[in-house]
Amino acid sequence: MRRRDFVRSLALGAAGVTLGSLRPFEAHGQPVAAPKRFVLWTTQHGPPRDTWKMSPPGLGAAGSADITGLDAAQFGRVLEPLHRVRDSVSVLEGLSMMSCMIDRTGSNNNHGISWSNLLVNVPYNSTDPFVGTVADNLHPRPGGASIDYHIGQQTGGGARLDSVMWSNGGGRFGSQFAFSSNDLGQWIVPNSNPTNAFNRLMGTGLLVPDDPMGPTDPPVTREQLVRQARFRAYNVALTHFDRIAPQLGTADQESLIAHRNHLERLGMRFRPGGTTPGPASMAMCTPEFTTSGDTMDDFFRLTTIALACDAVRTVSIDARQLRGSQIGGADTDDVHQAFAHGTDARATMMMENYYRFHAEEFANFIEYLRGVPEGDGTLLDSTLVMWVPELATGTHMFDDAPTIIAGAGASGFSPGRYIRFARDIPNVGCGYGCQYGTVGPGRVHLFVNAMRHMGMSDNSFGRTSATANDGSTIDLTGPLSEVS
Amino acid sequence: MKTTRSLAAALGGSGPRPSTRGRPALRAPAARTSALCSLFLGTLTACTGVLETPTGGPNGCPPGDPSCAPAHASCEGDPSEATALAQHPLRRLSETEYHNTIRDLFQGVPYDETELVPALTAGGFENFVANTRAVSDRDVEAFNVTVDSVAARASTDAAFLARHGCDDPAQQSACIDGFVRQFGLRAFRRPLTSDEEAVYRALIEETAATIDLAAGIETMIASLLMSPELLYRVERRGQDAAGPYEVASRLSYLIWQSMPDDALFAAAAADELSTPEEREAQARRMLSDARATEAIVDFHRQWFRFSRMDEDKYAAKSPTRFPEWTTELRASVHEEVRRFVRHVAEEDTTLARLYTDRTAFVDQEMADHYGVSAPGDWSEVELPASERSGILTRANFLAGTGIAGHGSPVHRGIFVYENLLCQHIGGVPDGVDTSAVNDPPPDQTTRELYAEITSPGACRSCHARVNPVGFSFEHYTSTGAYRTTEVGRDIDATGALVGSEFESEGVSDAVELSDQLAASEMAHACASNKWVSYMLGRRLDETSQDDACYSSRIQQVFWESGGDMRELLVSLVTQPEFVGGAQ
Repeated sequence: MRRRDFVRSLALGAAGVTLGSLRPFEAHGQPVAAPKRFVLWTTQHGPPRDTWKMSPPGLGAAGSADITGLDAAQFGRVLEPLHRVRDSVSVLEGLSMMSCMIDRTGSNNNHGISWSNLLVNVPYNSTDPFVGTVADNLHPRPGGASIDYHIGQQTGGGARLDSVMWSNGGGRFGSQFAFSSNDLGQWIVPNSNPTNAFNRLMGTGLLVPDDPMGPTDPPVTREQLVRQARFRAYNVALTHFDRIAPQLGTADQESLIAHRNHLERLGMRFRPGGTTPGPASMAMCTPEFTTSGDTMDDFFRLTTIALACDAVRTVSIDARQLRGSQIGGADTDDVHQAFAHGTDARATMMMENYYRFHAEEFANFIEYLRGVPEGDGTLLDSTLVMWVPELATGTHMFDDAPTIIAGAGASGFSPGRYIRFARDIPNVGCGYGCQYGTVGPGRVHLFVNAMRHMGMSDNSFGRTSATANDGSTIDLTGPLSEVS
Repeated sequence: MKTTRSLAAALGGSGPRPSTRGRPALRAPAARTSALCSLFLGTLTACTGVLETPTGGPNGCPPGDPSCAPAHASCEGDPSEATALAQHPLRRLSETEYHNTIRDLFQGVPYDETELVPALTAGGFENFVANTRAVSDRDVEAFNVTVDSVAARASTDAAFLARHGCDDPAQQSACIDGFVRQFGLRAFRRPLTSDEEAVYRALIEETAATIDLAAGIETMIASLLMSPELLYRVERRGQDAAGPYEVASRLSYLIWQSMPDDALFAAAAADELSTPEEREAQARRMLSDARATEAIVDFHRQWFRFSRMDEDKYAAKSPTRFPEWTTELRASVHEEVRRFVRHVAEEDTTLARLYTDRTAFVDQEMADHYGVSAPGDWSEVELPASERSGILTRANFLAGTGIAGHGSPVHRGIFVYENLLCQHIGGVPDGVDTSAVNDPPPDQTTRELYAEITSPGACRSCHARVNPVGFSFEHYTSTGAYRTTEVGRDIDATGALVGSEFESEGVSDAVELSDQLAASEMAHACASNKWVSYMLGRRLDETSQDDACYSSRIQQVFWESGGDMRELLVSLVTQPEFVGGAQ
């Protein structure tokens, strides 16, 4: 399929996307390597324990097995929808949410601990908690940047935007809780409006368009000259940040500097004779977008557009809690209390349905990505997609957390496998929800794989070690060698 | 139309007296120490999962108990000596403040209102420092959209230029001088320093030389709109007293949620905001402006969480049980509550009126919902006395605390207990199964269901406080419709305003509960503290004697004024702490 043609398969009647003109990556007319991309998808709660697991023939207590030859039934009821993309995905069993387990104390709610630790591996901010309306200690703020933000900051320079955070949810943060945070541990409010997100990606409204004259041509119109003058205007504003910041306390100072840096980066877009972030291919990318009414599908299509057009290279998306009617119940069902927390047969079935629904969405997304030709392969080859549920189970467990990855063949990942990690690491001291004596490796190792995929050389993310209950030291550095 | 008399008139002394509809007379105002007690001691004791027997008042701290007083005995000193209230030196404008500021700064120049990133309403008000501290790239891009939208238009708007010292652009030098000085003053809410004037003059002149004067002005506007001096309220730290322009902004953002007007700037320039009398005069002038009414409405939007009914948990109501819950009704519910609070704010603005006024403004949707006739679109009606009374019996609050299948006594009770009495309650312990709430037996009333599922010992300590408050709302469905029966049985809406001085008296329904709130000194103290907290942009510090003394004086003024919110606002700005330097 030609690159521009894939969008026709995405179009859903009147609602869809079109990429318009889109050329492969090139510089001076010569093809260049596609940039690396990272997509993180978070979903609420977790599936019932063990219901998502597969048993590929010949796989022992640890190791990996090829799943491309399995039939659909062997994927199990929850993950069966992934069968159609089985050569692009890997299922990881046995990883633990080590950071959550370390930080969990007797009075914490596991939802709150999860969201402050799911994508972060440093202690949460106990002195400046995210204050809920019920009890102050339920939803602590994270202690630093989430992995998506961190990677975006470190690798996003070539694209228009460093990273974007989206959610299809309503409520306080557009989801159950916030999930991404910046270097200061401040929550990043996700964008929940796909049309606004598209406009921001493509520079319609929120960002100035790329200079059609190119970076080296002098501006010729009054409008272009005025826009270039804004570079100086914003530089004057920057001096005010520099003057005020030293007079403030630490927290204010850090926030003001973060604000300043955002402005500085925005101002660079107006720099006379400078280049606007985003490669030349961006100017060749003229997609259109219309919402389909399914916001999660919208965001998956937007992600495909954004990555293909190199508007951004790191995308994180949070899925709101599904409605009862989406999983075989009624909208009036309290999915959280009745199903996620439930342990009876109906609750188990509903949560299986819940994660089966998400597996279907995930498979659709993978098909979008691998439907875009790029070089000798597809967009998916250079994209690492990671699906991490909020919790290991709906009943708040932290160990044995289901994790699905896809793509990134160009970085040495070998999709199409079921990887079972040994659960032989002494547990760290959390109480409720992780009562097992030994657990599998922390998912933070997978974040190191993600950083390596994106071209970073980091060997750890956050804490480098933890003390187990038996007093031994757990090494939290390095990637998971089994996946790439 | 006034349904509640002024306190002083009603009691010949202090404290509000609601219309009691023939119910037993309410208790006379308690000693002032009870308010202090409720704020600074009551909040220290949360439900801990241990069943406690209340000893008189809430949290074992009965109203008027002198043992509550010593903690802040030093408040009895000369108030004029107290100026140490911690005021924050850097407060980013909330979304509302930002839009109001841009509107007032460009007066008449059209611009496209940019949707900012939603505030992190992690408790408290949207203007809390903790809620506005984070700034993302999206925020900065949104500010840039405002520049795109308004800077060019303003730079060629003759009226705008004339207002800012540029009567004749042909006289370029004079125009630039005037514009830099006057627009700079209004944008930064203080006079520019000579260095700043020089920088902006050069920016305009050099841009004008390469493009034209309008481009130079547009460039300066762009610079100011992205400056922290505009986007934040910046105050000098470590000064004994705030400067006159800082005081002007404190006044304007408290009363208008916006920048100072010309009169305030003039008062600041003349250093006429330093005495309580001067500030009171300005405050009363400002309170007569429509912007004050809208700011009071917006305060209540945040306090009563008007948008909660749109959150997933409350918006998803059973279509079979509540077929009336349509998009149209939801829009009308929002409009009705805003009109109601605006009505209160435009009248005597008392807390008692907020809790007891039966005036409503209804369209056909709301008229049908409330079971009244609507003479016209958004016409004023009086709701049935036996069914409705003030904001807690309006559809917005009731729908915002009603879950899929029924109104939630727990959510309603917690809201009143925490937000209207400022008492603290713990969360649901981890692992508690509350799924039965969503699947009640068909022959069980909501009250029976909740009484049963909250009966275990671990639940009782908190639910003994929450349930009696929440059960008084049993006449209202999840959408706020009134009902007299449920599953074929008469509604039992008896309860009690637990946590208040009226706890032992009980109530027969939410109308009576509203009456008690209207007469409760603790409810007044809580409302007063909400305003203080809103003004400071932070939670009150339970360990701070300065916070305690300041807020207790405000509580007293509020109570003695009959719970008049406008008088409370005046008292906020006339206390010596209001002009204390930022810390």
